[in-house]
Amino acid sequence: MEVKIQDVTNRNLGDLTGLCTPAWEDESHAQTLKEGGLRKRDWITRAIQMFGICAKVAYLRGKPIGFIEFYPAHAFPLLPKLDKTVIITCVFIPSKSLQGQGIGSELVQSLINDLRDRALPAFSGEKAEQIAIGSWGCHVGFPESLPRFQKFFLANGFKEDPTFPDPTGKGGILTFEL
Amino acid sequence: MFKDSWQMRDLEAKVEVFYFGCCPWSYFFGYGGGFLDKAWTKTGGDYKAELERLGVEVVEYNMLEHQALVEKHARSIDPFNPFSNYVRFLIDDQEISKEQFFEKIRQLSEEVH
Repeated sequence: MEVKIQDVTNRNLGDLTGLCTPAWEDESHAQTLKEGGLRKRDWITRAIQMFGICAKVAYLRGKPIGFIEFYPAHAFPLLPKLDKTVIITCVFIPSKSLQGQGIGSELVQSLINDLRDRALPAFSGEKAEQIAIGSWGCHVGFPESLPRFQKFFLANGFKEDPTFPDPTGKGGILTFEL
Repeated sequence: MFKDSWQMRDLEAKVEVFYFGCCPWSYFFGYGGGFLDKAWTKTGGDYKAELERLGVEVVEYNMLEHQALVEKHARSIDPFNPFSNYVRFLIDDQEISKEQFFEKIRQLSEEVH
């Protein structure tokens, strides 16, 4: 299975938003969810301008099948102003038939390799030094996903970091030193 | 009709929705998503329209772009969780609980009728 990974730019922005929101013609989903997709599109456009890069999409035979999304830590509220740290907000492969086949790991490794070499406008032209991920989806509504979440990122070289600032006090922060 | 009623009473009803711009689900959950007020909507889709129909001012804040407001008003959110969201219910600039808010505007709506 040959997966190609591309940075999200204004050109393929719709491939990213299309992976996490239903189509407008899908009447079984709420209008506000689709509107959330429009807000995301607007935000990503601004984020690309501000940070240079904030997401990558995986393609299989030209079709978008998954993505990884990430932002500089200083973009997040309630966190101390951590320098040169990138926080992953989401790694998502919507199709169950494509999950568990290493696509998510390819996305994570692509990000790691990219950040090792890339100077980022978000860090005044310097490289990131650390990647972190909090408890995505685990603290709100999906506690059963925590073991899978940890296993996935630990397998990709992340380590538990109890010293990482955690305003929630819930723990589970994993980091990767670049 | 309801909007005129609010204006006549010089009452300002406002809902502030704090959401993560990176996640459509955060926005959806902020507008209910079946959790905010189940009596009004199961999907969240009608909730926003219903608020606007009642003349409630709706203000949206992408938390990635309004950090100071999050620090001030929405400290309970989880910055690591893109689903996270927060909603403030205000009558005349005073934050009240969701239950009090809906009770108040329903009460006023009944009075108008």
